[in-house]
This record gives sequence, C-alpha cells and structure tokens, in this order.
Amino acid sequence: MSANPTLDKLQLEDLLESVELLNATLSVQEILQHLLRVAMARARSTKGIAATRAPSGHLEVLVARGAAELKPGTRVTEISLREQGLATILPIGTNSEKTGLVALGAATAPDFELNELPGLRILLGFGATAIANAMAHEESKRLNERMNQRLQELRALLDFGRGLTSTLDAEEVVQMLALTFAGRWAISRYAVHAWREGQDHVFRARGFTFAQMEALSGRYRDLSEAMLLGAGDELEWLRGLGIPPGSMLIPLRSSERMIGLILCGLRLNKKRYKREDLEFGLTMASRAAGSLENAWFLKEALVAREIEKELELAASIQKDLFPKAMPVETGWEVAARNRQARQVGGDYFDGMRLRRESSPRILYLVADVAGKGMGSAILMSNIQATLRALLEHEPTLEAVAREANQLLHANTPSNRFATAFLLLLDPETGRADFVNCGHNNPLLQRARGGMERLDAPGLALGMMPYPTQKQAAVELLPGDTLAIYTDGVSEALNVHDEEFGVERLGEVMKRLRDESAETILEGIFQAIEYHVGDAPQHDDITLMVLKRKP
Amino acid sequence: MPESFQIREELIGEVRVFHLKGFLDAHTAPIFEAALHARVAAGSFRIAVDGSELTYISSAGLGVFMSFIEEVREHGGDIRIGGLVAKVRQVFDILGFDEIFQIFTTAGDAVASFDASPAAEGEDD
Repeated sequence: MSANPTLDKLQLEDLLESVELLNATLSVQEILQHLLRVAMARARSTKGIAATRAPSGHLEVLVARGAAELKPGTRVTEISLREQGLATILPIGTNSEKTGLVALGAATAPDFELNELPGLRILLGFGATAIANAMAHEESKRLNERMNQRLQELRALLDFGRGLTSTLDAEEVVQMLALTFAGRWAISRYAVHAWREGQDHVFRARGFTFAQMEALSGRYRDLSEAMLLGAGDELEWLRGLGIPPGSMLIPLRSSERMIGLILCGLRLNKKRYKREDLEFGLTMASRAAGSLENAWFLKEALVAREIEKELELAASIQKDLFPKAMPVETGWEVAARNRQARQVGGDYFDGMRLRRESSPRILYLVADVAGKGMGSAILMSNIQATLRALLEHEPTLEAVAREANQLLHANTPSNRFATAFLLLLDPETGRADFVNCGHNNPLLQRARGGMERLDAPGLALGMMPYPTQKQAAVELLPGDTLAIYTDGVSEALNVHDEEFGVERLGEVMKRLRDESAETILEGIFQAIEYHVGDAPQHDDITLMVLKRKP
Repeated sequence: MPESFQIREELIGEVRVFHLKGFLDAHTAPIFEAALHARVAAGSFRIAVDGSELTYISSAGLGVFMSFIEEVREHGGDIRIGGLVAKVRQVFDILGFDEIFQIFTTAGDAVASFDASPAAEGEDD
C-alpha cells in the first residue's frame, strides 16, 4: 500500500473512460451512480452506497445499490455504515476535505486492496473534482431558479400595481388579487373576503365557501402576518371545516384594523408555500387593502354627493311651497319669513283664503315637518295639498285638522309627521279659531298690555291614527300682535349653547308692539342674530307676525 | 389602456379554441376570465388555447387558467395550450405550469391532442 501503486493497461483505459464520463456530466447524481457502479464492480461487492456531505455537515446517502435499508436521504456516519456491513469505506476527495464517500459491502475480488484499491482511489479523486463542479453548477442553477422566482414575484407586483391604477371598484380589486395569487402559486381553490362597516361585503371564491371564511375570520380576528394553516391543535378543527392543512391564510389590513382575509388552497404543482411566499402574499395584500380603502372611500363620497343633490332638490321644492304673497285683509298686516339652515329643515308657512265664503276667512299656518331632505319636502307638499282640499269641504278647523291627521298617518311612514299651528281668522270680527298640533304655542301681545299663549290640545299631524286635535278660539283686538313661530326661533343657540327662548321673543314683541308687522318681524330676526352671534344655524327659523291695525 | 389584449374564438370539431393576442395581465385577465367562464358554464370542456400571438403573460393571466382547470377536468375535459413564444413559455415553466398543463409546440397540436386522448388522464410526453 505504501509503495507506489501501479496500474495495468486495462485499469488505465477504464480510468480514462471514467474521467471522460465524469467530465461530461454536471449531475451529482449521475457522477455518484458511476463511481458506485465502478467501485462495486471492482470490489465485486453486492451492495454499496454513495453519500455526500449536506450543507448541514451530515453525510447523506444519495445513491444506494443492494442496500434497501439505506434509502436516498438517510443520514449516515462511518460507524453506522460499518455496523450495517458496509465496512469498506472510500473517501471521495482528500481526507481533510471529504466531499463524500463510497461505502461497500464485503469485497469478493481477490487481492482487492492490492490490485483494485489504488485505481479506485485515483478515480474517486477525479470524482471529487467532478462533484465539486457539478455542485457549483447545481448551486448556480438553484440561484438562477430563485432569481427567476423573485423576478416573477416582482413582475406580479408591478403588474398588479398597474392593474390597480385602472380600477376604483372593490370587486375588481379583489378579482385581480385572486387571479394573481392563483397564477403565482398555481392554486385552483382560493377565497378573498373583505369587509367594511356600511359597505357590502366583497367576496370571491373558488372551491371554498363563505361559511368557511366566516369560521376563519371568527378564529383569526386580528391576524397581522400571513400564516400556514394546520399547526398544532388546529389540525382537527381545520379538518372538520374541510380546509386542507398547508393552506395559506393572509390578512388584509388597513393601518390598525383587519379588513379582510385571503385563503389560498394547496398548490396544484405539489409545491409547498415557502417563507418568501408568505411575504409575497402579505405585500400583495397590503397593496390591495390600500386600493380597497380607496374604492370604498370613493363610494362613500359618491353616496354623500347623492345625498347633497337630494337635499338641494328638496330645498327647491320647499322654496316653491312658500306662498309668493300672503293673503291679508284691510285693517290687518301679516309678515312671514323662513330662513333655512345649511341643511334643509322642514319648516313651512302658508296663508289660504276660504274661497267658498262671501266674506272669506283666511287660514294662517306654520308647520315643522320631522326629518330632512326629500322625504320631509314631499310630506310638506302633501300637507299643503291636503289642507287646501279639506278647507273647502270640512265644516270646522278642528275637522280639517283631524281629517288631515288621518290622511297623513295613512299615507306616510310613522316617523314622518309635522307639528303645526293653524289659525282660521275672520278679518271682519277679529275672531279666530285655532288648533295646535303639537306645535310651539304662539305668543299674543295684547295692545292693552299682557302676553298670552295660544294653546290647545293636540298631537302632531300624522303621528297617531286617531284624532287628538281640539279646536279653541281667540279674539284679536285692534293693536294686538300674534307671533307664530317654529322651534328654530325659540331654540336658536349662541356659542354658549344658550337658547334664544320664548322670554326674549316676548320682550322684543313688547318693545315693538306699536310697530308694523314687518318691523316687528325684522326686529325679532335681528334680536335672534344678535343672540346667536357666530354660532352656526342648526335649524330652520320660521316666523309669522299677524297684526290687527289699531 | 396602453397595452391591448384580444381574444378570437373558434370551434374546431368539438374543441373550443381561444386565440389570444397581446398582453394578458392583471388588467386584461378579467376579460379572458369572462370569456372562458361563458364557455365553461355553457358546457364547453375541451378547450385549447393558442398562445402564438400572446406577447406577455403575468401571474394574474395564468390565474385564469387555474380558475377553470379543475371544473373542466371534473367534466372529463381539459385546457391544453400551444404555440407559446419562448418568453411566455418561460413564465409557464418558472411557475410550474408545465407540470399541470399539457403544453404543445403548436396550437394545432394542442387541438389535435384531444382526438388522441380526449380525457384529462391521458398524459402526453
């Protein structure tokens, strides 16, 4: 052994052929197969393995012949190999830097150590170089593959980002997201579920159900990272749910909140999800979440704009309902004004003559319709039409109010009603019947001094199915002033949240009691403005001043 | 849109052929999905895709294939692809789609393969 080994011609030719073969391949597998084949032939051994050193430092079997118990991938040591009857151990490469080894069972070749071993050692030396080359090649192939994967991830992200710029629709965002995942990972089963208060759920799925997603979002209420399902005690629960372990769950998050979940099923090409995949999934999801938020925000803005449009339309309807001029008889003055708040309220005033009478009485009314917007504008015009029709047919004001109440209740939702004060004046005598349907009590400033409130029992029109309104009467004397108003007057707030109040209203009326109706109206509005100052107007302010000339 | 995508459909025997042209990306994938969905829903399960004029495909584009493959195979049909240009073919390979779909050199081969092995199980080499 210590003497220089000599090789015969046949062995040399064998060696040359082997070297050529080793140089021709870049597969570690093929190289080891060849080395093992030659070694077993030379030793005339019926079993053997070839192992290489894994990155972890352990020896791992790569090729095995006649050794069923040593499957590829098995970890071995020289000791364990000897114990399993593979006693002839030949290093691949130098002893100090072993690339791997070939281990053989009992050699039956005569004089194996003397005749064959030297040649084999030389061959395994060449083999080490070939393996090193092949490994380097495989490593670069692996790096290349990884780079391709990363590149494809980047492409998918860019492509998705481009797609997002072309849509402002939550459904489309979810569709693109789902398709990108399906293509990126070759999955045919997936589900995306996104939600937001006040918006429709967005749900898109293939192979999974809404119920499964609900169960997942019930268990994972605040997931911040992508995760693989099926770890630990979750397994049974998952099986019961019919979701395969190894599926991936990705949260859709907007800043601090989870706004959705994505479930990706198993990959059809049998690959498992890797850490990079979890990261990619989360990156895609966060891009999608941003776009979803934008889409939702836009939708909300559109809805808000619709509402604003409706309010504008309602305001113009309301404006058309106010009389162009108030009816008035000689010896009387009437002034009325409505100041709308920024958002349309439901205040309304009117004056109508009873045409059927020879010396016509006049109906004056102020009403406050519940709610805002189109609904209250329609109710307002409803009230106007109802009253006009009833006035000509019903014998008394009370009957008008009661009939109006019933009609409005039958024809409007129960949350739609109107407080109203109706005064039916006989201008000749100054006598007036009135009904107060849940409205503020008007103030009557007597010319001779003293303040009265016009009250009569009754609930708002349209509130109850049965009649509650009762008629009362009053006589307006020369010089008397009546102010009919809505709560926008008495409840006008200043910056300290103090109401204008009925008392201030009374004070102004008392101070201006000798002035004309128009001057008193103006004076009251000025007093309100003075009180309110810079505070914003919350409600419609409506005031009607009726004065019998002295 | 800067990049265009077009689909032309054709019926060859019992095989529904989709000729794809241009860019199949996140933006255009829904168009292909809708077209494929309409046919599959109507019972077309033998589908061939001609990719000879497809210049680009993204993950979202490949996602469309995934969305229908199970359903189509459950009905004994298949989606087979042919004529891919090298750049597009590479994307199929990188994402492992060559393991899931039968990919042929030409679209004609993909169509003809349904005669040789109409069912999904018949694997071509």
